[in-house]
Amino acid sequence: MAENPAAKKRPELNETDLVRRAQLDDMSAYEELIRRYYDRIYGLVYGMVSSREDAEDVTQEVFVKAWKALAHFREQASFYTWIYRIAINRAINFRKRRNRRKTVQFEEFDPDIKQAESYKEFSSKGSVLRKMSLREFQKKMNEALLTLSDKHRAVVILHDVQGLPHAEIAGIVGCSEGTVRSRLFYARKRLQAELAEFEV
Amino acid sequence: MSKKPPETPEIDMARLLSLKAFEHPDAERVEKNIQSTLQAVRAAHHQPSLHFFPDKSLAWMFAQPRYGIAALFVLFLGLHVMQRSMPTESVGSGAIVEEPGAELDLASMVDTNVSPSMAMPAVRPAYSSLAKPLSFTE
Repeated sequence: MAENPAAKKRPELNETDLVRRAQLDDMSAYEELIRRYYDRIYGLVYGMVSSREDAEDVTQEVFVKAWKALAHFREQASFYTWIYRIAINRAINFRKRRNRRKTVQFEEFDPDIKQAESYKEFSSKGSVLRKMSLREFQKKMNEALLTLSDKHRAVVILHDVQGLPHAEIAGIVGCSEGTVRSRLFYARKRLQAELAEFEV
Repeated sequence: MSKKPPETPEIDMARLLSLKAFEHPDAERVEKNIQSTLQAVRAAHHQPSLHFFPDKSLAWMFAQPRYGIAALFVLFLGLHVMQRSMPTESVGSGAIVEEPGAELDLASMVDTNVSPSMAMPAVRPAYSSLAKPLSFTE
C-alpha cells in the first residue's frame, strides 16, 4: 500500500490549521482531515445503520457534504463536533429514505477482541459468549440496537462504543448533559430487555 | 410467607456494547474507502454550482408538496390582486393617432364601443312631420 505523501509532509499541523487550509481549497489538508476522522465517522455511521455497505456509502456522503459546507464552518465548535453532527443527521436521513437491505453484511470482528478484558469477562464460564458464538452475539446486538430510536441509538454508540464523555455528546447532539444521561439510561434498559436471554 | 423470586443479575450493558468497537474494517478496506471518498470529494470540488438550475432550486417544492401548493396559491393570489389593480380602459380611447386620416378609423372604432340606444337622439312625442315651425305661423 502506498504511503500518503500529504500525511507525511505535515504531521505537525493541528486540526484548526488543517481546517483553515481546507477552507482555502487545499485538498491535501482535507485529505489529512479525512484520514484523521474516517475511522471514527465510519464507526458512528456503522453503529447507526448496522450495515457495512450502507455505512461506507453514508460515510462517503458525510465527507463530501462536509467539504461542500466547509466554507460555512465557523470555529464556534470544533471540526470534529461539527462533522459528527453531519454524520448523525446523514445516517438518520439515510435510514428514513431507504428501506433496510434484505441481506445485511456486518463488519468482521477484529481478532484483538480476544485480548479485551470485557471479552474475557463475557466468555467466562456461564456468561454470554459461552452461550452463543461471537457471530450470533453480533447479530442479536445489532438487531437490538436497531429497535432503539435514532436519538437513543446515537447516544449509545457515541458513549458506550466510541467512549465519548457526556459533555461532548451533548455538544454533538445538541442537548443538555442531563438529557444525554437519561437517554443513555433508557437505551440501556431497553437493550437489557431486548437481550434478556444474555442474562446469566 | 410469599417467597421472593430470585433476582437475575443484569448484564453490564456498557461493557457488552464496548465489544462493538471491535467491529471495524481492515486497514486495506479503510484505505480503499478513503481513496474513493477522496475521489468523490474531488468530483464535488470541480462540479459547477447548480444553485440556479430550476430542478435544483425547485426541489424543495416537490420534497414538501404542501409548501409547494401554498406557494402556488400565494402566487395565484398575487396575480389576481395585480390584475384587479390594473386600469381597465378600452384600447380605442387611449390610442395614439400618428398617421393622417387615421382619426376616421379611430372615430368609427370609438362609435362601435358606444351602445346604439345611447347614441340615438330622443324623439319628442309631439313631433309630427306636418307640424309647421312656430316662426312660420306667426
